[in-house]
Amino acid sequence: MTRFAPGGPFDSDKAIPEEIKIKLQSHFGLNLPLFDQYLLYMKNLLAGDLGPSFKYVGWDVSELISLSFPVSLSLGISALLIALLIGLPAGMLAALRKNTLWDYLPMGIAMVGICLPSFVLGPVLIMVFSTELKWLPALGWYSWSDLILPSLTLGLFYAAYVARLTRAGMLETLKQDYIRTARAKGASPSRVLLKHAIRGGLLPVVTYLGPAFAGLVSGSFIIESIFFIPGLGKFFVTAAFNRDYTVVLGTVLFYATLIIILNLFVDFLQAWLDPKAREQQ
Amino acid sequence: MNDVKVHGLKTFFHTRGGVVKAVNDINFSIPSGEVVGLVGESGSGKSVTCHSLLQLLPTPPAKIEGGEIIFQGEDLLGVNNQKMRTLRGKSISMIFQDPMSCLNPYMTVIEQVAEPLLIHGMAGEDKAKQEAVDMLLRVGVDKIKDRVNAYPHEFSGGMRQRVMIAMALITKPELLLADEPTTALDVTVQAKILKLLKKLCAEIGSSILFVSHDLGVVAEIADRVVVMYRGKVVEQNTTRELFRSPTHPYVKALIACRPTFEGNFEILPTVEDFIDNKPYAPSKKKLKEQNKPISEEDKKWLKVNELSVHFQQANHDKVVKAVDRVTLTIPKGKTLGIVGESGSGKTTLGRAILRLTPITSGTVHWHDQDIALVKENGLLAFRKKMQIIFQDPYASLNPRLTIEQTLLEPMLVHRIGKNPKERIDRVVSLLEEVGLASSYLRRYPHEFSGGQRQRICVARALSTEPEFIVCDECVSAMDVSVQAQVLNLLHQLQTARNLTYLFISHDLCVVKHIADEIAVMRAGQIEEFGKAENICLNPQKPYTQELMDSIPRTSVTGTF
Repeated sequence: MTRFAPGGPFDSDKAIPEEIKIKLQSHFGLNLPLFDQYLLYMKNLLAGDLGPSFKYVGWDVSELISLSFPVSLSLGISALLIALLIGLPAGMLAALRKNTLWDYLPMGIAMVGICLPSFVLGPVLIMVFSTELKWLPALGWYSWSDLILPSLTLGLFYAAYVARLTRAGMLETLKQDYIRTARAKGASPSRVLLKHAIRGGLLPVVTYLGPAFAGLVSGSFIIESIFFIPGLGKFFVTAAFNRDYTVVLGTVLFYATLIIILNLFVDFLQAWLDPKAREQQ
Repeated sequence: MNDVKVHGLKTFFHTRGGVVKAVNDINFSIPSGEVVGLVGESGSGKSVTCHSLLQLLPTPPAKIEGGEIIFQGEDLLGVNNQKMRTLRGKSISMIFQDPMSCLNPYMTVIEQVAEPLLIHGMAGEDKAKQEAVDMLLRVGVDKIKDRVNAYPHEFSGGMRQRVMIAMALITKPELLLADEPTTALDVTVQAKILKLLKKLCAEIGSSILFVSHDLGVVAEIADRVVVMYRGKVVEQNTTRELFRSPTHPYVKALIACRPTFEGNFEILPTVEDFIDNKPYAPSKKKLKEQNKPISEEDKKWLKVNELSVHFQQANHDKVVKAVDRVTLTIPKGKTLGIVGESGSGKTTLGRAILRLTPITSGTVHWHDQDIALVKENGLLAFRKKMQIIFQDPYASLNPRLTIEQTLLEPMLVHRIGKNPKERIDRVVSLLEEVGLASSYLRRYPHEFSGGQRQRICVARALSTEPEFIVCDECVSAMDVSVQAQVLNLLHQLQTARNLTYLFISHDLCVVKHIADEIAVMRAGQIEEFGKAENICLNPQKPYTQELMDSIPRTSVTGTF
C-alpha cells in the first residue's frame, strides 16, 4: 500500500541529482517491475532476511527491529503491569461494593482514563512530576527512571479498561448460582471471592490481555514521540513518512507475528482457567 | 427437642414498583428428624421462605422484616453474620434446584464436595478429600473412582444433583433445605434421587425442609406438608391427612386440578373453580368414551414410516441417532402422546414430522404426499396446515411485536384474509376462542402471565387454520392450575375444530389425560406404542414399567 502513496524513499526537500537517484534505485532493486520486487522480497523473507533500510544507510530492517523492539517491549511490559496492578483491584473493589462510593469513584476515574488521550495525559504528567516536582526525568531513554512516566501514561488507559472489564466480569460471576452455593456452604466473603468467583470473573480480562498487550507494544508511537524514546513504534511511523518500504513491511510482518503469538498464548491461558474450554480443544 | 420453629416470618422485597410481600407472616415447624414438604405454585413464597432460613437472599432488595426462626434454641434472625456463617453448610445445608448452574464450573467435583469440611475446620485437606470420595460413592457417583479430577460439566444432570447432595450432607447437618431438588430431572432419575435423599437423611438423622411445586413429589417424601399461597401458609397437616381431607379451597384445587392416572375427566377443574367457592361438580364424562367411528382412511391420516434423523457431531466422527427408524400412525382428530425422558428424541421426532429439522431417511405420508420429499419452495403450503406450540411461551413470542402483530404475521405470510379489516376480525375471534379479551391486541408479551402467553401461542398456531398441531412440552413449564387451563383449552379446540395433535411431554399423567394413543420413546426409538390406557395401566416393556413406577405416588392412586 505504501507503494501507492505519492513520492519515493529518495524524494526530499534537498534536490538529489537525477543520476544518483537512479543509481540508488537500482542498488535497492527499485527499478525492477513491482511484481519482480515482490518475488525478490518473498524469496529473501523465506531466508529470514527482511531487507535493507532505504533511509538508514547500511542498516538491515531486522537490525532496526532487534534494536528498537526491546525498548518498546520493556515499555509495554511495565505499562501492562501498571494496568493490571491498578485495574484488577479497582475493578474487584467496585464489583464488591456495587453502587457505593467505592464503585462510583474508581469507575468514574476509569471513565476519565479511557476518554483522556495519551497526548494530553503525557504532557500533564511531565508537567507535574518533572517540571514542578522535579522527581522524574521528562524525556529521553537513558536510565530506568525514564521508564516510569511513559509507562504510566500508556498503562493508565489500559488500567481503566481492565478495571471496567474486571468489574463487569466479577459482577456477572457473583450473580451465578454457584456463588450462592458457596455462600450456603458457609464460605466467608473473601473465600467466595478468591476461591469461587475469581476464575470466572477474570476470563474476560484474560481474553482482552492478548490484543491489549499487542497494542501496548505496538501502539505506543505517540508516547514514544512525546517522551523521545527510540522504540519500534517511532521507527514504524517515521518509516511510513519516509517511504522506507522495507522497514514498513518488516515492521508490519513483525507485529502480525507478535499478535498471533500473543493470541495463541491467551488461548492457552484460557484453557488453563476454564475446564470446559479445555475439553473443546 | 431440636425442632426448627418459624414464627411470624416476614420477608419483603423492596422494588421500584413498591413493596412485594413475598413471605407474609408465616408459622410452621420442622420436627426433628422429619421431612416437611413446603408446597406452592410459582410466586407463592416457598423458595423465599427456604432462603430466608439461611439468610441467603440478596439484601437489598430483600429484607426480613420480622419474625423468629428458632434453631437449636436460638433465633437465627438475631445472630450476627459471623455466627450465621458457622451454621451455613455445617448445621444447615442446602440443595438447589438446578444442578447445572449451582456447581462451580471451575472447580473439580471433589474439591467442591470437600469444601464444607475445610471451611468449618472439620478435616484437613487430605482427609476432607478422602471423605468427599467416600460420600460421592455413597450417593452413587461411581465414576469418581476413575475420574478424581472430573469437573461438573463431565456429569449428567442426575449425577450432578447427587454431587449436590453429597456436598450438603458431608457435614452431617441437622437440617437440610432442599429447594426443588428434583424439578430439573427426569422422572426415573427423580425417583432414585428422592429415595436416596430420604435414606441418607434417615441415616444421618437430618430433618428436611423439602420445597416443591409438585404435590406428588412432596407426598412421596414428606411426613408433613405446608401449603403456601401468595406469601401465606394456607394449610398444614400430616401428609396423609392433607391429601385425605384438605380444608382450604386452594389446597383442594391443587389436589384436584392435576391430571391423575385414575381420573379421566374431560375437563380438569381449575383453581378458580375452588377459590370463587362455586359449587364444583366434576364432569364425569370420560375422555375416551366419545369415540366416534372413524373411517379406515382417517385412521392412517398421518403415516410416519422408518423415520430417522441423525446428527453428525462436530469434532467427533460419531453419529447421534436422535430419531432411529420410527414408524407410527396418527388418526385424524385424535391425539398421539409421545412420552420419553430428556434426550430420547421426542422433540426431534416432532420437528422432523414438520420438516423443521432435516430428515435423514424414511417417509412421512400425509394427504397422499411424502412430506420428507417436498421441495423447499413447496413447504409453505404444508406449514399452513401443520403448526407447532413450543414449551417456553416466554422465549417463543417476539418481545418487540404486539399481540396483534404476532397473530397477523402468519396470515400475511400465508395470504389469509382478503383485506386488513377481515384479518383483524379474525385475530379478535382467535383471541376470544382462546379466552382472551380483544382489548389485549395492542399489548406486548411481557404484559401477560405465562398461562396467557401460552394461550397467545395457541392462537398463533390456530391463525393459519391448521389441521395438525405439534405440542412440544407446551404445558411443562406451568403451574398445575395454569396447566389445567391450557389442557382444557386444547381439548375444547380439538373438539370444536377437529384438530389432530402430536402431544410431546415428559409428564406421563398429562399425556395420559390428553392422549388417545401413547408412544413411549427411548434412545430415538419407539419402545412401546398403544392405547393410552393400556400403556399406562398395563405396560408390557420393562422400561415403560419403570417409567410408570417412577411417578410419585399420589398421581398413581389419585388419593391416599
